[in-house]
Amino acid sequence: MKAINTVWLFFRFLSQNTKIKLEYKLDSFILFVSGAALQALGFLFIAVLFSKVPNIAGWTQWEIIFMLAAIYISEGLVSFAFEGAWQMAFLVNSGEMDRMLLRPVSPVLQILTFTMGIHGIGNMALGAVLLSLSLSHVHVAWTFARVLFIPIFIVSACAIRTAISFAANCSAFWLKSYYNAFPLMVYQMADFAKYPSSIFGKAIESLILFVLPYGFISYVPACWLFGKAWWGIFAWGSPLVALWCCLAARWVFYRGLRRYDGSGN
Amino acid sequence: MLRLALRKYRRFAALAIQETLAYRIPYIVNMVSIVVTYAVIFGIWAAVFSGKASVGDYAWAEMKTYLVISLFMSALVSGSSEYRTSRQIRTGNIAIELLRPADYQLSSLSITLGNSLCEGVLVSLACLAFAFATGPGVFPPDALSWALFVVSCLIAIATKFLLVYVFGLACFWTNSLMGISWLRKGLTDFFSGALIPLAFFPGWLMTVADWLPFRNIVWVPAGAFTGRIAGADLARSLAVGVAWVVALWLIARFVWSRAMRKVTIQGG
Repeated sequence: MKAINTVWLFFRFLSQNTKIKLEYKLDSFILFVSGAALQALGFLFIAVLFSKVPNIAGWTQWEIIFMLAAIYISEGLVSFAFEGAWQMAFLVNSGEMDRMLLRPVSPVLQILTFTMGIHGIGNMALGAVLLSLSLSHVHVAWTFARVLFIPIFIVSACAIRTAISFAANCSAFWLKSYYNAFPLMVYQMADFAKYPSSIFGKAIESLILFVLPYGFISYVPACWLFGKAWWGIFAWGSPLVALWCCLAARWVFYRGLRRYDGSGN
Repeated sequence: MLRLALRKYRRFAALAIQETLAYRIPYIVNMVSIVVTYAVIFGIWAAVFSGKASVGDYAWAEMKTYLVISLFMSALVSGSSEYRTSRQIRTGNIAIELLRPADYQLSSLSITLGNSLCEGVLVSLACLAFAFATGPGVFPPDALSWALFVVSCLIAIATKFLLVYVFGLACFWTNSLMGISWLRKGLTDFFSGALIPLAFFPGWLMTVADWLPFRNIVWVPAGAFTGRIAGADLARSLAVGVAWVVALWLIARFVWSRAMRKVTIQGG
């Protein structure tokens, strides 16, 4: 009952936020277009690069575009549905969070859905296009397991992405400043997961597999799907990684909440 | 009169330096984020070149140098003045700027130059570290080449400042800078050749890049440094660069004068 209620509330918040954003038509349009255009430039970069070389560290163009697409889709969903995570610094420092703590609804849900990002729609749309393009170009022997794997990994990828970005933004409880740079740095580390991470060396590869598991969004699934490494089979563990990330993020949030003392007035 | 004006704008630059030193965190974060971006780009290119003497007609030594110059130019003028302008427009503080007996475009330029001076120190250190970590590269052969490289850098700074400034003025019409800023950054990174040398572009895309001002930000300075653009070619590129700076300066003036009609609506 509680779960259904939460889902219902989530969609209510999302639709309200969408209405608010659509009030600013020019802004929404610019955000939507620039979000999609940026991703298109990322795609163009890879296309130009591969016009000169047949493969990078044994990976072909469409295999890398698959990874890029996975990153774009998960990034798009976080922006679209859970953009509120990025408002943590504001919520903590302005004391706005007081309001959320008083309501009989999970503060995590309220924070995540505090706002939404129109650009997420553009990201997801372009990511979906790139994903289907790449899957139609790569040579994969499609078995039942591989087909089943696609939706599982996409859902896990979105959950991992949301959890990492939420946990990083919870740093606002400790770093009390309106300009909190820490989550941005964490966010940027996902750049290493847009490409086969082994090319960056063991240290970076370990970082995005074990510390900030962005690797489970794109790299590990790609390794399994395209048979790049024996440990690609761990891609099936991505729902567990996602669950672990969500629990860890929740724990970080409630730890941080103990430090929260409102703005007082 | 001129001396007085110069002193006035030098003061803006000095204030910008003080401000940067006082609020170090955004400035350091910006640097870290640029270094991460380049670590990714560098990793990709190293993988592309592994086991090959050259790709396209680039040798690895030239490519490394290209990336270091690209890092230098990309980090030198950050988007901070974009956010300053948009913040002032959104909060209405722009009204105070309008009351000041100083030209907004010139004072913004002075502030950007002040910031660039601070950034320059840190960026140069980062580039040196990068250059040391990546091994020997290609250097300009003589004093004249060095001088022309410095000229191309000045053109690059002016071009980048003006682009950031014009895009920042868009906030008079729209509330969100985020999308506009991304778009500017994405276009700059791609069409300046920051991520991939323009020589790798297919013909039609190269033509597009040639007609845009972004190439003056990375492609021309890097070419002047490595010697890929030299002689009459370089002279022409620099002349086109100067023409772009003048054109962008006038475009910025025009956008500003249009914006001034808009500002009364925003004010409150």
